[in-house]
Amino acid sequence: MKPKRSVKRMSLARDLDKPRWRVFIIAALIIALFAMVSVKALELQVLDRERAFKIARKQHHGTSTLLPRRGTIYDRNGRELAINVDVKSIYANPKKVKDPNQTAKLLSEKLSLPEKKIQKRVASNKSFVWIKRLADSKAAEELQSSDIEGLGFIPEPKRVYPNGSLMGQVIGFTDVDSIGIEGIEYHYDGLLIGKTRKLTLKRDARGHKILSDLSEIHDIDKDKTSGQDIVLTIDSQIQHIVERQLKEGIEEMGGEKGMAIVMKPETGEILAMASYPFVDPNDFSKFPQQNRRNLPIWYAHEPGSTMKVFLAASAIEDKKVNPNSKFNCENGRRKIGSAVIKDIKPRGTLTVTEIVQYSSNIGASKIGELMGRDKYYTYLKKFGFGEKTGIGLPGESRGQLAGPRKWGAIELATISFGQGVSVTSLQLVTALSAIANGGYLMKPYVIEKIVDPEGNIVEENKPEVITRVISYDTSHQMKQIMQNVVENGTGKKAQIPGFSVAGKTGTAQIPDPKSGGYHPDRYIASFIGFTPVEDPEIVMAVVVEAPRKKTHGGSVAGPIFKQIAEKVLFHMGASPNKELVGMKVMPDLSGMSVRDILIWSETEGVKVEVKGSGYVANQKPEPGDLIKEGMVCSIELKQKYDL
Amino acid sequence: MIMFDRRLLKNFGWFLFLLTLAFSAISLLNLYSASYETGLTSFKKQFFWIGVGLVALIFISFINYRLIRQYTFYIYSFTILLLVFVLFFGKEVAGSKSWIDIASLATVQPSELVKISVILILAKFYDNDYQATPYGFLDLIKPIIFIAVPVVLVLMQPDLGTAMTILLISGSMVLFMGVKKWSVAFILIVVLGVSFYSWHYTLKPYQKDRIKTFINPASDPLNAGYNSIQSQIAIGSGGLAGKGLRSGSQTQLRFIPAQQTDFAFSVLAEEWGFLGSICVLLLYFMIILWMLDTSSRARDKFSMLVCFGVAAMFFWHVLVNVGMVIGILPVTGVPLLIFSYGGSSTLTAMIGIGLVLGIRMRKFSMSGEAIDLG
Repeated sequence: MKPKRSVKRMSLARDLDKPRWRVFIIAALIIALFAMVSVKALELQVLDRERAFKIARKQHHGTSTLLPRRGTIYDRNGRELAINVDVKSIYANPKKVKDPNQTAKLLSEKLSLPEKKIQKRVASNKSFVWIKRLADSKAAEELQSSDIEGLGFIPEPKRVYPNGSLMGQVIGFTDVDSIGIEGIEYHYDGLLIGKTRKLTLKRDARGHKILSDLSEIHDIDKDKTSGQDIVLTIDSQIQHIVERQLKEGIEEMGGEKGMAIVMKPETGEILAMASYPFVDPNDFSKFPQQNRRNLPIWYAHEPGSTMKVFLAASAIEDKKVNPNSKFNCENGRRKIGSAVIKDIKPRGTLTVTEIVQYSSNIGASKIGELMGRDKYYTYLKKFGFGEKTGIGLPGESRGQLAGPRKWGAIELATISFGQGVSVTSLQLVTALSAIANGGYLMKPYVIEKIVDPEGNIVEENKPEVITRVISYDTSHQMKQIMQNVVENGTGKKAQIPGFSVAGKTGTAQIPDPKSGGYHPDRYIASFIGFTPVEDPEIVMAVVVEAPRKKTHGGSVAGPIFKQIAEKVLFHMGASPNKELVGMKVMPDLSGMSVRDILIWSETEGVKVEVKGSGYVANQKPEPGDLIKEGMVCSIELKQKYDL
Repeated sequence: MIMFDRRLLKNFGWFLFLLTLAFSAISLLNLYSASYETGLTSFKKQFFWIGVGLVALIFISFINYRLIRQYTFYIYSFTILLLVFVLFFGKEVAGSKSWIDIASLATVQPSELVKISVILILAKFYDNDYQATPYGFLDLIKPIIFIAVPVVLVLMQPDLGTAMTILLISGSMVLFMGVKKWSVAFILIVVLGVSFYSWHYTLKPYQKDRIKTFINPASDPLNAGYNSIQSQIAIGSGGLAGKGLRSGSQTQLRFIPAQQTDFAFSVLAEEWGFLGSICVLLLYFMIILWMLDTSSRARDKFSMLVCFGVAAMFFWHVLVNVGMVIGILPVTGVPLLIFSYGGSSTLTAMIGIGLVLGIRMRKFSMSGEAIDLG
């Protein structure tokens, strides 16, 4: 391989066969290929840039959801019932943690978390892990001041219930992720929770979240948008009174549990709703599961004698009886088919008023028979029994009211005095409100309004009449019958000095699902009533389950009713009877008959001037105005009226 | 042997040398960014190899190429022996036995170095057996054997990409020197036949997948097409001016496959944008043109062909790599010379530049003859 010496000088252009075009071809080829590459690069990087940019952004970002900033829950007077407090959540960037073992040990000590779990997280190959959401503030502060590398802190909203256990079952509570799981928090979660708050993190090709800059996070939390606020009809002051008196009364009687509900009869607004034993939503896990039930709407129980009120109202409205109609009460013992009905005290002939006053089961069974099962059933339905009221809270029961075809003679008799039927306390106060307010069944509600963060009202509940159950006349007669119960009958312990009270006691046995019969020594003692009788401010039901010291509704629930009602009336600024003389408030008469008007004017001593015929369409003065001495109310009636 | 003529320094190709230095700097900057998240190991190694390469470049440029021509056959034989050695004792990485471990200090890829040997041996062949008319098939049996031996050995590793570049470089040289039309047709038929055979019998499934997904990368976005798509996302999101050093999210979050080696260019394109990538392409363009210019001024066929071969080597590497990175050519694993992290390819490129520089320095006749610039 000896190199041959080439002496001839040469160049690309000269020496080859067809030199020129070859040079051109090489140059052209190179330029063409470079141009091709450049054009493609231009297309990718300049013309089609957005597409790649979008894909890149999508694959480079991961998110971690922050706790939501839930809306506030207020009572009717604007007192806060559920709020948010910013609490620090602790996270770590394991890549920056220098000594995972030491750090994990410290964290588990300060936050009292299992060390192994923390160590696993701190030593992971991710760049973002939560250590503790909503950490104890003292521990978080100590950790933050000790300035450990790789640890970070984000303020997150923690749900706090400033009133503790007050109406805990109504408000409900949220889980660790701030998602409502009970009560209003659960039912209105979608409105309260607001928009999802997300922490944007970078994500690498292996899907690990990366946190390169801690300051990014704090900027995100500047977005203070919260969910919608909810204003309740409940007055926390009244609720407080109700809960205190209920607890006191139940403890005194050695009862197991109990409930009370207070309604404004004119509107259907719920003013208080209590279930005992209580639950503190701030720390709900420490309370037994069964405490979480909102009893007044959930617990359907046999009403017992309180049912006689609605029996009597139905029979009077149906013109089958009047308050003075007499019934033979068979001296305390009546046989119906195979069964025997007993009264506590044997009595002979009683009027309807007396049957309610002494709570005669035999008398009640006879009134029921006189009306017939279909009629009685129709009235019970009209009063709202056997149906959900639609109050807008989770877990409402409809109670049990079988259809009339399933009623035999015995069932008709027992349902007449409140056995073989079950009702909720909410149904009782709703039905009783119809008696108290002149005959209108109002739809009960607990949400007054829902307000968005800008202050706009999103939803507002207004009083809603479902149906008219009884006439003003019947209502008036029932008020007297029930007032008589408190003044002369079983409900004497519910009397309030200075105020007229109407009510009815109830004592029911508790069914025993094991035997199919009743527990021999467990009773549900109840009292339903309203006050003042003339113009009721509040309608209330009080129910105590399995009291040990006394068992009768009048002795157990009656005093609780009295204690509550007395304080609530004072709180509402109601003046005792004697001062009311000469000062009367004009009621809403719309839809009433001439007969109703005349009875009203007679009993109240108001002069009226009636025009037209049919039902009241216009009135002067307006509802709620004071009727001054010597004033004549002008009332216009029309044949047809729309509610 | 080495002539320390003052004219050598005077005629030293400062332009190409400075281009090379600038290029090395850009390459290191890019690798710094690409390897930052993984601890800069490949940046440091490349720094070392560029240093070694520059020393080799200067050393080779000062050796008279005539001396190199004299030893061409030994150089060629040595690299072929390395290729045989690697088949038995090589280190296997990602399915290919292509590397020789030197005392666990560095790994060398003989298939890169063999490109220089092939250029040299072809240049020497044409220098010896020059004919003015196009070459027929029979005239070309010798060069075909010179080409086929390393190509087959590299295919046995197997390393499709490198074998293909060797073919492209040597094919360019053969075509440049002229081949009879019938011989071209004959060779084409042989190549097609071999391709058909190898598609069915010798190609590994991963190699087939690479070719298949080249046709439609989106068809398999998670596996075979992933590289191509991620690379295009990186380039595209770079836009006109780029995201800036160490700010390319696609790079820093390690979405770009082999971003320090074969796909180093997509890192550049993401962080420096269209303008940055066009600048680098233009730098390559200038290097190639400068080499072709040296080739056209060469004093003899050997030096002319060496320059032309090195230029072809740069050209094909740039085209195949950048074409792959921006998605107009299949993913073949051909590095971008100097720019991609890789000791052997960097060293090879530096040796190539050194050869051209050495020829350029000596283009001016020692005997004082006039230069014909055509």
